[in-house]
Amino acid sequence: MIASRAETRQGPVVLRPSSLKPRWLVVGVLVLGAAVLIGLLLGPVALHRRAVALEIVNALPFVKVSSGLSESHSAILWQIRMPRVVLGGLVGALLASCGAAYQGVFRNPLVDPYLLGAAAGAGLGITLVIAYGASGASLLLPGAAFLGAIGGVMAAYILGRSGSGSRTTTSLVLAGVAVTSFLTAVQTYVQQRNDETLREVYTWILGRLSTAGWREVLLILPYAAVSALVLFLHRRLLDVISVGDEEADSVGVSTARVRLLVVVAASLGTAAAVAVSGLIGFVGIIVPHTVRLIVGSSYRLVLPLSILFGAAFLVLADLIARTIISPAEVPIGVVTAFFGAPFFMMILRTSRRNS
Amino acid sequence: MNKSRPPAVELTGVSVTYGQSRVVNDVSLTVAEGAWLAMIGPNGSGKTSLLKSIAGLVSHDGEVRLNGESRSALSRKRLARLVALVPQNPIVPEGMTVLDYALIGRTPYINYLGSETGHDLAIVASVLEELDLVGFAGRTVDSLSGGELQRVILARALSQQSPILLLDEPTAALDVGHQQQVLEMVETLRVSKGLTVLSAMHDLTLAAAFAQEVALLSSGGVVSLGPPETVLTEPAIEKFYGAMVSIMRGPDGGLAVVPRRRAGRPSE
Amino acid sequence: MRKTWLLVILLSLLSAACRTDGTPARTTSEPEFPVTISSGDAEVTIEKRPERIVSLSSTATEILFAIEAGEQVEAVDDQSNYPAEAPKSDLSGFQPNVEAIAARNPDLVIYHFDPGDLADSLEKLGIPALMQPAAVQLEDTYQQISDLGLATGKTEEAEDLVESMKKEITEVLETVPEFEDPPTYYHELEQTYFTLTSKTFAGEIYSLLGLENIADAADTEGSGYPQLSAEYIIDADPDFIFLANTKCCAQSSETVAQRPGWGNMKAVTGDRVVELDDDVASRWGPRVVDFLEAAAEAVSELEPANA
Repeated sequence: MIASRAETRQGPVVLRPSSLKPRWLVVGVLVLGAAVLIGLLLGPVALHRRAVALEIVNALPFVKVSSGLSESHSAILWQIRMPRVVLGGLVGALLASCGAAYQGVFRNPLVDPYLLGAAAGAGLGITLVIAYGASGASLLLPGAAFLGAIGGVMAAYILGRSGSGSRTTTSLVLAGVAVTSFLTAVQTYVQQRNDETLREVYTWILGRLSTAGWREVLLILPYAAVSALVLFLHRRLLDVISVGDEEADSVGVSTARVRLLVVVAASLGTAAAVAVSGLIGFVGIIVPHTVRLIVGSSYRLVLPLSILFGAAFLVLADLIARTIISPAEVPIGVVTAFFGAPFFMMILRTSRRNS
Repeated sequence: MNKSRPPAVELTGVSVTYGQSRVVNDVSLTVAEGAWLAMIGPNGSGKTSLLKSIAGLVSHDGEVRLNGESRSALSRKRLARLVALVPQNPIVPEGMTVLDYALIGRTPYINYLGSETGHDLAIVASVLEELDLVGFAGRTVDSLSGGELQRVILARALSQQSPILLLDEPTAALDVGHQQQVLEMVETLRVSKGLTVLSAMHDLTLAAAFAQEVALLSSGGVVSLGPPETVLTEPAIEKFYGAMVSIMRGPDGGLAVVPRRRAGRPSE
Repeated sequence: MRKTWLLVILLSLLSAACRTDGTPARTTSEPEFPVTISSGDAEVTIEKRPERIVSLSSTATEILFAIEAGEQVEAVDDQSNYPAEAPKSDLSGFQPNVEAIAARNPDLVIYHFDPGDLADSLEKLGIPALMQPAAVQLEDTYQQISDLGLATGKTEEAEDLVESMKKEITEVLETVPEFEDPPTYYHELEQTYFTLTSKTFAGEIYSLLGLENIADAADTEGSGYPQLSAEYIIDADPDFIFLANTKCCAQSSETVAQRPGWGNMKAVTGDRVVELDDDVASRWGPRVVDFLEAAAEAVSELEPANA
């Protein structure tokens, strides 16, 4: 945290640039911790609070206490609920941070990680596997979603990078729209030809964490780590390129290279999230925007805090999804959409007031 | 001027083409170290494109040499430490503070994944002091008036500490007081730090007042180059601007370009 | 003696002369046509014995062939995979294309689902259509079988089929022990934990065996097909797990045992995860007996003294 004195006519002041104050970090960690705790305690099956606490304590090395949970309840806690909460946190952190990164690269607070065709590509990938795969092919679904997402972004990038200067971001967005439209059309066609796939594809499109186990967590962990790390390291550069391609170039930053790296890392993260949890929307917009409203626009704060608050948000959203009509579940994409609508109304209201 | 050192800026046959139109046409000129060259000319004469080509922001034919070195041989970072550009219509990032914005000017001195040091901040602080912007440090750039924003952009460029300063219409949004303040500040820095200044300007009087050399551009080419008295003549201005002016000497000896009403000449 | 033979030959020749499509003459009495059968909420009248039936219902297909009306069937839909000799086509039972159906020149169309305008369109084309919706209880099955018997002129065969089914079911039920505490079960339709309650057709079969469904308590909307969650199922720890998604989705007792948290359930450790044939468990035709037998076999292995 660097600071400097400067003189004004009224006397000396201290100047401090935007940086992540420890206080915000602590708040983020506490909120996340609270969300995780609540997520572990609540669910379709009632588990005693004390028993859960003892179980967690028992898991610490060198500690052995008996929690009194029955074997099936213990299985529920460790095999179902805990991986699900962890996965929700990872996916939420990824979607929020990748959303913030995209917003930095495209200089627009309303762009989404799915903008460049990741969503449509993943959707097409899983539809093809569900429609044409043999019956054991459900193991291929995460891979198909991942490859589809990456493929969609690559196609949009190749089509759209022909623009130059300030037109690059616009042409990328347009290319993303074109790719999305095309892939969605193909997906719809395949679904129509194979209408028995409709239900499974639809479930996937709305997003779900319900078949989570530790396997999915392990699957996503390396991608999440790499993606989050790269984005975190680029937080200052995202601030720099917010002044525009030309000006960023003129202060010595290769805007094209930064953009490519960030888009690759963010697309990787999004593809991994989509591979394990389907298409969960709005997280990438709601969380970074809310963080901005609280701490300001500098990516030095928005990026790390989006990771923490994104995780907390999705853990809580998933909690709602799996308890509100228990034992049935609301698809988590529906829950986030329910948050999304009032959120956008609020943005509309504040922007009307500001203008 | 020190003739034994290479010129700060040397252009040879520079042409910039956008699509079908050639906006800069075979321009060659030299600016000595520590000098101030004002580029004037009507809208669309190629001033901005010429500045951008010097800064390496647009592709061009011909060669640009900075301090004797070919610009294309310089890495982006080294170029940024050498040349700072104050653009005419910059993008104003929403929600960014003035201090953070000015700090972006230190980017050429920071490692790719690194962050600013106290030294960087001290430099920016002193630049803000000089430009009387310290009180604005915590305000967001999108909340500033045109004049305040112009000074902030200049602060960012000055934080780069580059010996060559390119200004694209630096006084366009400023009131007469701030116009004077900014240009006087640039002049002071030019003298004290030996900055080389190239400015595209529309105000001919100010151009004459501060620049040692004036280049008049028309349709992408330099049609006149020299000290202000030589370039700023009534026939030249009428020919290239299509405007009737009177060129006078002010009490301090500086040139004043005064527009005339078409209705009558002073002698009538 | 010779006179009788002559009479038989004469009658055969006469019946043969009345044949227009070369099928062998029947020796039973001619059933009555026209017949009127209830079809959904309405009724349909079939003027004469249909010879070019199009079946858009896999269950109806099974019934038709079980009552020996197979030769009267022109085409069946893309899901009708049993019996193997059924003339499968690419007609869709869920998204019926009226033109494609009409192109087969049917004189009777049997369907189970009308997405909106199927009945109207067929009526406009003058094609008799019989709707046989999904059965809700076993009685519906018997009714549909006799309806189809009436519709095809195979009334005796239909009667015989119903009788033999009832007999077999009674026999199977006798082999099943009585339980003081009814054993519980979970019937899985999809890996996303969609299941059915005891109010459904399949649920009735399980109830006949004396089993209790863990999903009944969870079906707050009364849809009959609620969705559960992994936690709920593990907590309920049913005695039996019946998988109806073995063919479509490759589920088996091994895959179930590998699901996180399911490994210690008593149905898994006691080897009481029953792999059913998807089609047998979801149709309401003659093979419901096979379904009952498969379930009964599993139940019989359970000792009556526990639950």
